[in-house]
Amino acid sequence: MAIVIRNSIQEITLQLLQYIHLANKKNAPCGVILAPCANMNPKTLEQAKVLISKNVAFLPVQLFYDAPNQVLCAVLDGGTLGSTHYASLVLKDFLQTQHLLQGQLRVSSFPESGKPTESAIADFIQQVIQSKGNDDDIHFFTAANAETSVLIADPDDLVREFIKIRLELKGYRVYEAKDGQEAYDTFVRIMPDIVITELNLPILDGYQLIRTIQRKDSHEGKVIVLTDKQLTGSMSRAYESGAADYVTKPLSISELEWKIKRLTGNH
Amino acid sequence: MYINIEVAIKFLYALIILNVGFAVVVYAMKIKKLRRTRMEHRFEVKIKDYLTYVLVHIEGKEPLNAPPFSLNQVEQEVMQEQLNDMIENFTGTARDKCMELCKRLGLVQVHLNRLEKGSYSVKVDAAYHLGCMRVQEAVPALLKFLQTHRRNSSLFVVARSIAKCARDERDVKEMVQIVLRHNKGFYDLLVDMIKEADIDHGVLFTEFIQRESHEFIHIGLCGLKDYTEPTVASAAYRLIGSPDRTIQSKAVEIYLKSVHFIPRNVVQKLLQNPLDEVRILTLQAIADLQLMTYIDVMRNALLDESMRVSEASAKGLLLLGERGIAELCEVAAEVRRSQQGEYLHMLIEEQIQSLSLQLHDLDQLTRYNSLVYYYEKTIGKNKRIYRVV
Repeated sequence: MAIVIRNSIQEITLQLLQYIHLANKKNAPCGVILAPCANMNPKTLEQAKVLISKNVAFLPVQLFYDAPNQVLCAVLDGGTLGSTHYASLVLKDFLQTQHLLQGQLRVSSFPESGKPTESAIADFIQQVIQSKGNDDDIHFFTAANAETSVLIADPDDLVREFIKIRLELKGYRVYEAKDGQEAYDTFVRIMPDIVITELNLPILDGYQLIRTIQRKDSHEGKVIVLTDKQLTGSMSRAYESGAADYVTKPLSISELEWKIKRLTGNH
Repeated sequence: MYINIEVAIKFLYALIILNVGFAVVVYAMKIKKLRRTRMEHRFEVKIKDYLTYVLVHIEGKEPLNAPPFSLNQVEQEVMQEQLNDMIENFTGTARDKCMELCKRLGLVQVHLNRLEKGSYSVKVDAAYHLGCMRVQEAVPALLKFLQTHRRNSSLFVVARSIAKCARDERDVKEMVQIVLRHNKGFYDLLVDMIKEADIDHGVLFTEFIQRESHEFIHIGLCGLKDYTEPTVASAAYRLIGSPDRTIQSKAVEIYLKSVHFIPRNVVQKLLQNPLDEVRILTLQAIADLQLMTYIDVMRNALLDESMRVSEASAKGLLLLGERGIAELCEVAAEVRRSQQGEYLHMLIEEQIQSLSLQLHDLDQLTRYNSLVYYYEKTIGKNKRIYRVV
């Protein structure tokens, strides 16, 4: 006689997997939001469900609370990453007003965020449990292993934030720097595979940064320049300094992603 | 006397009342501003997640949803600033989706109404925001506003907005026409604004240089500075003989940058130009394009009456390989007793000196050796200059 012993994470993992597989069987995506919450009762659960349904009216929503791990799960049948992320904004707002949120919300949509295997889902839940006590931000879960690291050096917060979010979703490990000196220090510390830099940087400018990086590590094809300097002179100077590629602003993220893939041989 | 003191006291009272009044107004304004800043900070925290949502799905297939909460006027303004930043920073689908979101949030309509009914400063502000959001339907109203606008810095805010919103080339041309009425040479600024328009800039600038108006020609030439297409070369060629010297030298510069070969008759025509600048540009282009067939022309230019042209020719010959270097040294030897000969000697020695510091570069090393060899051979100086092998 075999005895199967399941731990508390396994229970919720299997339950989530069941929902995801049911949705995927219909060739539809399945959106999942996990949030570390304290003391959810059936009444608040129902209120949250009504609120989400009102804002994402076109998707059936399932909500359940895993008491042993104190994790709230929202499953959106047919939810793409876009609609699930939008639903997470509504859920976060609700949980914060009710003072129930205890950490970071995590959002994903399968298969867009990766293959829904048992270990991936368990990892997803584990991340939410571990986020208890942290800032109550919304994060994305991706099952892909971050093998390639990228350092972004740009004084513009919006540009940095945008590239970081988009590359993290594609499974890259991303580091940020606001000026040339911070970029160089981060480079020395983590030795990223790719550096994306603006030429107009405070303290050390882009050209100096490229040259210092090249002196430190002459591994070719490391630096991509992302700048609003569109003159051929700036372009030639950047290539002479050792840049591997040159992208001009306004930014096209797809173009940048292709250039990173080309340089890392990650097609 | 008694009456004067009474008047003075009354005057002092009036001053105190006025002071108190002004102090109240100043503090009220300060409190209002502080309250607004606090509200903006609070909202920035509140919309952080929503903006992340926008950034993540900005290139996705699904349209962006409006925030799941209502916005008051201050919040709407903060949101507008954030969306303006995104539109300016991104291109393609990302920009289109931000513009669509602005429309869905009602921001476009708000600013169209402000442009129609607001005071002067409100209209300028509305024009700026409509430009950021690239609202094409605002162009007629913006052009009307520009027509009556006096010449000050706001004129360019409105003009730039028109360029950003332009539906086609006609809108841009109309904007340029109106701005040019102010009769000031802001050509580079106009080019910068035109480049914001979503049109084929090269075609527009090429059309401008084919016009009669000098102002349009100036704008076209400023805009074509970095173009290297054959169509640009043929359009610029027509202006090479222009009586306006600025137009002439700019046209020559563009022409020489856009061609891969310069016919002999054009070379001769350009080298007969009275402007030193034109002759220098021609010699530099021959050297850059490595046109060895014109070594004879370069050789003749060494004896040009202008020292600057002579120097450009000497430097050009240095770039034309051994034959060029040999010709340079030969001419320097032929005219050694003249003032020009002395000048050429000085130039060659300067070049030897400068090349001797760059011997890590193979090209410079080869050039150094050839120059030293021919210099010694033709001029036969006694002092030994070492060759690097």
